[in-house]
Amino acid sequence: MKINIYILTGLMASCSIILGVIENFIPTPVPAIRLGLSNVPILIMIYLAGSKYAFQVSFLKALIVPVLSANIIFKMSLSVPATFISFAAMAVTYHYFKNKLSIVTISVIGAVFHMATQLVVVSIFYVKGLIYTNIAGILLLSATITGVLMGIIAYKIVNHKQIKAMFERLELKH
Amino acid sequence: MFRKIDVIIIVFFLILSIVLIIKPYGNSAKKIMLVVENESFYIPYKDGYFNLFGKVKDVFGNDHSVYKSMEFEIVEGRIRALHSDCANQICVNTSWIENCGDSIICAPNRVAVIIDCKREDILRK
Repeated sequence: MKINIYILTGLMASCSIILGVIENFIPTPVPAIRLGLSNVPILIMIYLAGSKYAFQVSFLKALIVPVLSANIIFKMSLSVPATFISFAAMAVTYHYFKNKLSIVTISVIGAVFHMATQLVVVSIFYVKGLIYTNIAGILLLSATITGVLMGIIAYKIVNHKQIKAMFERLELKH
Repeated sequence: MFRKIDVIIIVFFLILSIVLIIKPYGNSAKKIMLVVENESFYIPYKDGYFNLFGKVKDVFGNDHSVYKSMEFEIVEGRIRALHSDCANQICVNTSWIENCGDSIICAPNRVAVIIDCKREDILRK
């Protein structure tokens, strides 16, 4: 049985959106940080289906997750640039260094770029003077730790035999 | 799963973050800097409650029109946000802050309370 790639992209996008919404309810030690669970389907798509389909997943995730959480305009102004820049960083790193770097490092790079973009957007458009605080260090530490955790989850999924076999049966249209 | 270069990159990010957290954010006396929209000013550091419902007096006695629905509490040099009308309540869930460089940030309201220990007056910048 052949699976259409578009069905799988839709499934992955819905997975990413649901994870992005439910991670709002997971408590973290610092209130501003989030786990980044919705990054796992994007990583899986980059590794197993290609950057084109991963971009579709991240596009849908960036637009729909803010609609389903409170404060749409504010969340969307943070989510859209952060998701796109973190996706671009992960896709470029994967394209050039896929033989040298593991999926955990690519996940960490995505998390760090996501955090840095959000911090830049907040300090340009919302609150000035963040350079006088230690918030950048706290967010960078949390982005590194959550990036490693999500990278380990993505590594387990990408190297799963059945999931690998499922993606090998896809009709990929490049 | 991990190669040498992966460990180097992850350890680099960890060290950078720890340096950013523990680096000294000034060594002069603690001041409370209130950042509202495009202006920033210092407010008196004394125990009690203060809110941003109307005009806020800075340390020089000047009035600043703020009009934000937020309330703060200062006890023994520690500050916390008591109430805010934003949806995410990140500022209220941030616990007490007391060290140099700590901050309570409410990005939707465009308000931040920063404990500033820098010597120079950033108002002139």
